[in-house]
Amino acid sequence: MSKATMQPEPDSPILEVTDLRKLFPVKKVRLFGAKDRFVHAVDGVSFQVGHGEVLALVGESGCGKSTLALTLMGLEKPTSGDILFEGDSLASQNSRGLKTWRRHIQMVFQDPYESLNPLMTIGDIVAEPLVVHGIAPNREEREARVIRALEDSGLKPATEYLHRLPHELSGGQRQRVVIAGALVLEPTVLLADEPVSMLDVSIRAEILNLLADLRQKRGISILFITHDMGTIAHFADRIAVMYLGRIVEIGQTLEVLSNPQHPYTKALLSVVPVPNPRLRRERIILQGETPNPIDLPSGCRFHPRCPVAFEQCPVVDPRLLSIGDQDEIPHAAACLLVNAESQPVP
Amino acid sequence: MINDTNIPSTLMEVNHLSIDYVTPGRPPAHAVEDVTLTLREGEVLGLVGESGCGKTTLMLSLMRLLPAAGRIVGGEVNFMGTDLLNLSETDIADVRWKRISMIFQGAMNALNPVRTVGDQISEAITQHIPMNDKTALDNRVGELLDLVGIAPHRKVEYPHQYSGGMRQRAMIAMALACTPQVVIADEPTTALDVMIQAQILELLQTLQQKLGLAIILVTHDLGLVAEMCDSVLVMYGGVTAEYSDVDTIFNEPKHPYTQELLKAFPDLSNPRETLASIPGYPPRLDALPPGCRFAPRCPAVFDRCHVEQPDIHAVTPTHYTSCHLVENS
Amino acid sequence: MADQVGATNLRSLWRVFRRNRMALVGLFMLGAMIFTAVFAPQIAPHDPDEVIRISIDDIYAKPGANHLLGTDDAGRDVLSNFIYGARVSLTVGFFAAAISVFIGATVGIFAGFYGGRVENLLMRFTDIMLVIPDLPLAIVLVALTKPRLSNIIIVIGILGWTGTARLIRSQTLAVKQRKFVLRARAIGAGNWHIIRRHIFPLVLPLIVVNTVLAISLAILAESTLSFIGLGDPTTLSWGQMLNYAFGRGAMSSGALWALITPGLGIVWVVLACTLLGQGLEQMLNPRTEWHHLSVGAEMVDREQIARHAAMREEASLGAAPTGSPASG
Repeated sequence: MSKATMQPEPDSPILEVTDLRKLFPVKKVRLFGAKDRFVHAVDGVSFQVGHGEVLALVGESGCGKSTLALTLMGLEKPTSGDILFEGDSLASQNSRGLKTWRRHIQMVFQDPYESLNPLMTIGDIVAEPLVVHGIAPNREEREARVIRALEDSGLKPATEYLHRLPHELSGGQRQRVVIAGALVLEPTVLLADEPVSMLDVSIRAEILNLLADLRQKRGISILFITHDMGTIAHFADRIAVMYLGRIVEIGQTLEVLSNPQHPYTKALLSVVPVPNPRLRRERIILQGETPNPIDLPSGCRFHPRCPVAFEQCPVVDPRLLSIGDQDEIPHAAACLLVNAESQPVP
Repeated sequence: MINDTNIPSTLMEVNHLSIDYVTPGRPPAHAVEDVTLTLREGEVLGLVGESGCGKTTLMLSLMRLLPAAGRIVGGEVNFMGTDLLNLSETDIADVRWKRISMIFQGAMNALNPVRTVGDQISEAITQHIPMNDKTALDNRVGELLDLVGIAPHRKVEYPHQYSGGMRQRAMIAMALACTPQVVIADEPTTALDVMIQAQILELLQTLQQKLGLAIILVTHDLGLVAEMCDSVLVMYGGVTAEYSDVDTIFNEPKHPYTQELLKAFPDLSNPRETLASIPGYPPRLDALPPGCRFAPRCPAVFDRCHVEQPDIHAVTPTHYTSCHLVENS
Repeated sequence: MADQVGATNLRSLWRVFRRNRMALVGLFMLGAMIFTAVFAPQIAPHDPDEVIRISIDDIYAKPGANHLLGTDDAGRDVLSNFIYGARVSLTVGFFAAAISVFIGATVGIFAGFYGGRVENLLMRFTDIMLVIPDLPLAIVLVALTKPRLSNIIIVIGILGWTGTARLIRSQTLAVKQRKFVLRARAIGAGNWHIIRRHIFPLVLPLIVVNTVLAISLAILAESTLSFIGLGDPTTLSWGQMLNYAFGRGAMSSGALWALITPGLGIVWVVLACTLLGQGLEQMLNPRTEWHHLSVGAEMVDREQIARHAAMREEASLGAAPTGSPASG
């Protein structure tokens, strides 16, 4: 991405991802000179997250958003590119540095039924990060921290929950436990991977409000990964839309929602159900499904499903370029229709 | 929707249906209590509620597929003139799938991985309609796949060669195998990506129009309901909270639960700073509050709510709700 | 999905266990035999070591008032031998099973958890051990070493772990896939921590089941070895009783009691272990029973479980805990 497209935030970013790539080799039966093939899970992604900012990463399954999260956690090694956390490079971390890294960046997983060990009590689960990092070795202090994290996550009074097992809690309560387990280390960045998609609607709102609250009170930056535009419209500062390993559009939430540029963003927005039968509208339903990230389409990756593709699209790979005013927080999209100037001179 | 005269004929009437779950040594759990609804030809009825509100139980009872502990303790299910609850086991078997079929929740994982999709669909047909003519059966399978937007030649493939969305389509084809009048779709799009979800919804809408199907859409997603349904039944703690046409439910809800639920639903067309949330949890069905079941979480609660369970009141002839506030007004 | 809210783990486990008649019978049978072995001196009518003068009438004496189950070729009381023999057979069973399960579980957990080269190495070794016929190798090993009870235990132990290793490995692989292991990594936990806190507790039920089944296999193996004359000559196990009776004309003398008694003992214990093991397996296996200790319930069939859970929630066996405070 060119420098011009991504103005730095007023203060320096807490997380900076530059041209990140993560390819997984595909196991192959090698006959004569078979080429190595790769799953292009994340393929050249750059973005920044500011202090206390909520950035939503939106995309369907297979767009690489979950791999991106794992790479940010240092759980997958990037193939190329780098991630800077407060100026520190992930690539230069040794195993101890990586452990500290994981103390500052915490993750909340999608499935609260799966991400808690069924045999551990809630107290032990929330205390585990402290044990692992050797923080607060003193028992009372540890318990105090666990209680604080549980109450901050909305499980009050915390003492009622300490000795329960996960199966005794409802889905919403479990997700709160997961969040408490992340908060107990007092991280500065939270990666939330579809944290509400498995929950009932009334519970969803509670969890979203809790996350918004944490951002406000603690200034935690949140990278919110989701496939549902509806859930993040309310509290994300910026939205980045991903398709097949790339960001196709990024910008301020309201700007992206009200003035989407990329045809994929437009389609995604059009299929978000509106809870009012009077506002039933034309949906742009893309046919087929996301192609597999091994055999990528030529040119623009979206062109086989794009309702407005034209003859240049299979040929030219559009770059993510800024639209309109340069001094605002930039709104960028990777589409030939939007950025005619990005076509290379023949 | 309920008393209009110029509307297609009634297919199914559920009158005051109550279902208990009995566990030895425990008081019975009232999973469904006094639910009344009407389903007309070609109508899409949304059944909305949180997990554990009794909506799945209600649907299973319509096909008489309740688990062993379930007991129908009152009411009737009148389907085209016969009470399904009084039918013999053989007669109800004849209604199942041929008249009323079901798309189960998470159905795309319900396909047998070692048999072809076509094979499994033909089985769904021959289970209910004896068909000896192999070619006719094959044609029918192809026709069904075509109907749900899968190229018929793919019937020889195995489920793992299908994507999630296609598997769900195959399950829909199976539900349509015996040309039912009513299809019950239990959370048909949960666990699918938004775009696939939209595709499946579009498919259901097309099928509904093309085949004149009546669909009961069981879901907790109000967005789906707004997009798809003609009428809506909101359930809470086993009882009807509110029942009306879709426009009334979304624009003039009378029951505080419906109102709160709508506030809690994210709306792209009208983004607010924070979403309203309903504090607390739905009641356990074996430890129901003595009065109104929503009372412990209700923002508009008053003394009477805690002691007396509200009856179902008609706000208008087509709008029913069970709330003391409505009776008072 | 929580049908034991507030109950302790053990109590809830016992409640599920109690419902399984097969396991209860197995437990009772095994318990009775253990009791017999422990209190052998109090129960046995004769001391097997007592010096006796025998007359010809005492050899293969028919069951009678003095010898309830008759006597053997040396005029010893068969019932007493049987009771003391339980000590030997059960000792071999428990210790050999402990050794084989320990090796098997260790190999299985490490292979499953680390994967890659470690797994390849360990599992190929396991395969090699698996294809070598156990009994001939055991015969060779016992024949090469002194036929002491401890040697027999070790030989049986180190030959019997392959099945366990494979089973535990696949279970470990399944547990490793679960999200809470990823979560543990995400908070910075190391391998050892993950194995100790997340993998081991979840494969433990399987290890327990396996141990019970391994006991019966070990007892059978010991009986086989003793029967073909490779037992410890200083002790008298059921296998050896069979060996003596068989080799010293019990059959031709019509002294069936000397053969049937130890045989029934073996059958009794093996049956007890099998019943108990199968009962436990059924109880802990997610396909057949719902219990949160049923390891990896969710991995088997997420959807089916979800329906199951929904059903139970509908039946209101505990969606939300009673009296839990409103939060949010």
